[in-house]
Amino acid sequence: MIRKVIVKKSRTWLRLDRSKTVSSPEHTQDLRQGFEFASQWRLMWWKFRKHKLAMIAVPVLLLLYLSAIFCDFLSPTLPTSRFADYKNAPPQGIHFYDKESGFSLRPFVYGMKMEMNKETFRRQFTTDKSKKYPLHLFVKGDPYSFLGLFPTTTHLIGTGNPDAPFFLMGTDSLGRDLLTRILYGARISLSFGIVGVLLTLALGLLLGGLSGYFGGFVDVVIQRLIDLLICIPTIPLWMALAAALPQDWTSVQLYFGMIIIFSAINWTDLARVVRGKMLSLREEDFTLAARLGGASNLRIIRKHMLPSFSSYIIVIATMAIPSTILGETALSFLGLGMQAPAVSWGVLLQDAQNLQTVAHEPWLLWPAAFIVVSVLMFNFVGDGLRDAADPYK
Amino acid sequence: MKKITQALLSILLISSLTLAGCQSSDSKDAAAPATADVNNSSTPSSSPSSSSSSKYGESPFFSGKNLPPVLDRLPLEPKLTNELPADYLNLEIGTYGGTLRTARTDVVIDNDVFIINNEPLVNTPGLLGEEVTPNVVKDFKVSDDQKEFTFTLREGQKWSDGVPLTVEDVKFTVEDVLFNPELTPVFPLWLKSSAGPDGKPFTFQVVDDYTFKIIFDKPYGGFLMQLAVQGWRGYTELIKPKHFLQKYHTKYTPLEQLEPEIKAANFGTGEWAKLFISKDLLNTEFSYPKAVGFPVLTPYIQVKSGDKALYERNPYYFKVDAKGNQLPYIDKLESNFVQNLEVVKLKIMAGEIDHSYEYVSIPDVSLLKEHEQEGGYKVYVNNLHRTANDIELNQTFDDPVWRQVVGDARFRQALNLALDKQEIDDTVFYGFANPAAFQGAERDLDKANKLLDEIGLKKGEDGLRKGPDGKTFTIPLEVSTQMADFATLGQLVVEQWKQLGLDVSLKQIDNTLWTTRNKANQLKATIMFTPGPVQWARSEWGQNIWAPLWDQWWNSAGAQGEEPPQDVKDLFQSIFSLRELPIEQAKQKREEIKKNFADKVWYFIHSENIAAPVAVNAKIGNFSDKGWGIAQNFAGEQWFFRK
Repeated sequence: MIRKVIVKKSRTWLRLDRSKTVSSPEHTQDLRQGFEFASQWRLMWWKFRKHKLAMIAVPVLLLLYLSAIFCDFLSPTLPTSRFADYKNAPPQGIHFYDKESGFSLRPFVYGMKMEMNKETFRRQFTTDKSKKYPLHLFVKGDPYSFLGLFPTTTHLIGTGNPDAPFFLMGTDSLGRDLLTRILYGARISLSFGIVGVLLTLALGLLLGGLSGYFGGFVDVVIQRLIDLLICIPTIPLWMALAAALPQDWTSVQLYFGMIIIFSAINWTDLARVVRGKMLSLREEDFTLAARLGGASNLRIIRKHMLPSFSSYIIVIATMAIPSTILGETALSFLGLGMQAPAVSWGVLLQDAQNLQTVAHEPWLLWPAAFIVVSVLMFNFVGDGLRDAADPYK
Repeated sequence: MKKITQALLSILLISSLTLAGCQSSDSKDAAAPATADVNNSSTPSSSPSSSSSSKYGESPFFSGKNLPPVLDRLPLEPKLTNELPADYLNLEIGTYGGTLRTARTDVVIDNDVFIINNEPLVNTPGLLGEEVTPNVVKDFKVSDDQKEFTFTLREGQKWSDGVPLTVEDVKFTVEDVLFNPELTPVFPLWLKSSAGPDGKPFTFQVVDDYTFKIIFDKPYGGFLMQLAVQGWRGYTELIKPKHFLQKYHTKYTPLEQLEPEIKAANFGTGEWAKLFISKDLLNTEFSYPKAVGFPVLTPYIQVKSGDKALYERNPYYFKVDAKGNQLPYIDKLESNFVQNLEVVKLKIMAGEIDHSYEYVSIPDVSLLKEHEQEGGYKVYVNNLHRTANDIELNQTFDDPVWRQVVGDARFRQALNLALDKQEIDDTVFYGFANPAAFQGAERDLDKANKLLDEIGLKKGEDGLRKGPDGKTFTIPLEVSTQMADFATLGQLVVEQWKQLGLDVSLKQIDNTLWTTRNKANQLKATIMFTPGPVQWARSEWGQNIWAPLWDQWWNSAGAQGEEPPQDVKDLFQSIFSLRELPIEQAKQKREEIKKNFADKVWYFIHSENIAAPVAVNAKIGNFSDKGWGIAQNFAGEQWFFRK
């Protein structure tokens, strides 16, 4: 209904406008595709397209999520595979050129040798240029089950040699490939954002909707509850709730338990927006018309009110994803959320909590880069969506 | 003052002339370096009438503090320091002065100060304590039947407030504290005969002003070792300052008189025992705020508690060096409270900490080594007889299937064979440990698999081994978050055992929860330190973790827990007999125990000779670079700052 109203509005405006531009038939053609005829979503898309950063962010996010979904295929090994001879190995470079054999189209990595230096007490790595391991696509490696569907051993890239070092982002103190672990960690960390926000949405919509539509006593109770939740500092509250999760839960249970914790706190923002919108929309003529027409409360909310502010909901939801990701990372980093052997970015960063990592094994900070990028990208997208949310402005 | 001193001296048969001179030239003595002071007194002390400036040297720290001369402050026979044997440390004569700075991350617990300060009744020079020598006591005698122990205190030894230490203090501690059921509701096991649960408490006898006897009804040859090495034992368990504590004891002070204090300390009416315990100081509590003002025998006294706790030298400390200088050399300790471990490392690198044992671990060494020059410190990585984080499977867990499988020695042997001990050492200890040889350091997956097949743990279609009930047999490792090492090791063990087709998982739980679950017999598999394999006199071979119910049964003499099978009973018997036997026999017994552990693999001991780092100011002298046994040597009073 609201869409119809808007379309009607734009048509009146269109008629006025047409007086100037109607002259050429070509132009009319243009106009049919132009914003005068475009739907709300189409208008939003056009406006969103203008936001350059958001346009960069979308493919980056897509890439991140795709690699999280297909992490088992993309990663060279498994997150638990240990290379005992390459503990704390630095990232390797991919080479095309070698002094002896010259240029080769097939990229390769050099061999590495680990030595414990008894003077400095460091594991030292020397590149062994006599050994070259060419890289291949679709190599056989550690067995895994592709998306949990069928077992396979094919990995996207690798040397095909189980003893050869191939660590594009280095290894941790147990000799596990960091790139692999980051990719697997993305599964937990990135999905946490989405799943978490879904629950937040459900809670926010329900409580905010109730509060705004019915007003009165319900409104007061829900709003005071929101006030109460907002005034508690989030990190201590998260920590308290995370500590309250039963300790004997498995990591899957812990994962969902944490999602519930985050949603239980994060719904407040969304609920407020929904309530505000509800308050203004329920006074609108079309709502009144619907009510006079005998529509039920649920139908009015569902069919008339919700569509008119769904764009705002999407914006807020998008903006909530990065904070959820950061929250999970923060808690796992503090040892209160996910814990090893579960792999998430926060868990990986736990290894980088000390001075010697920063000084000697800076590559263990790579997960932080992934967190920064994904949070930044979500913020850009959210920004773009916010600009596009009300295309009629 | 002069008169009193001289009177004392005549009793002590030391030249009054010398001392009169000494006293008048107190400030001059103090200014001169202590070593020079000793060199002056080249006259043999056997001729008391001959003149010598002083028999003993003291720190200039005390000059002008209006204290009696050093001769009066030391016992008649001071203890000559002997904490480390010559092949570990060539003791130098040090110089007085300086402040030793340490850091701690706990508000009150301060292990770095503790290991400097602690004084056991008797001690064991050397790393593993092969011989027992007197420490706080002047001498001890053991009867031939290993039942009667006679201890002689040092005549003239004084508490840090100057009050003489006599057998009265021991009598007070034994009769009014240890044998007072209100103050000691559970009599300590190690003070019962042969340290057994069914043993009788010792009987106490005063011989004269400085001699007392402790008599057991059964032979207890390990008693001296108990006093010297076991746990973190100090003198406080048998000697407490009566003159200080009787103020809080109803035997000496009427309860009515105590009531206001009890009330002030927020205890209920009549709860004098709680007040007494809150005032009393155990040897592990020297760093607590209540230690300020409490008379001690240790080298340092706490003078100020708080974030920056300060300790000063004890003027009445009973040890001297080879030249007769009263120890310690270093005048003051300063213990700084910091928020976390990383700050400790930063402070070490900045040269703001002179000694750190507790907060340095192997992974930090490379970073600390890099900054040795700028920070002016040295990092030693030595075999400190650290206990390893061993792997335990609970053999008394309440699940018949689990018990059937885990109770089979072949199953444990198979798991032992599947452990890659070399990888564990390389990963967890950065190669600063050796695979423990006595349980077999070889890895043999084929043999392990064969053993598992033999037991009947057949692999299912999913490749996982099934238990006797046909369900997948799972080993859920639950480790405490107390040490980061546990999770690292846990992840390795999970992967190594998975190779046998076993379903192994790992979970980290909070330390308090771990303790609760362990006590309630709820842990199936875990990782925890066990001192037994490393420190030979210890009887903690992890029984409370791999068999909590059997251990309870044993310790309660059958009242609680569950009766263990005969072979376990025999094992427990031999472990506890270590306490009864004299050292030589105990060592033999220990070999038997080790063999038993190698055959039966009660739990998995994967590493030995684990090195641990210590960061120490490069200027500190008398610091052994060859290692020292933690909680066995306590040799901090010999350290000094080189000029």
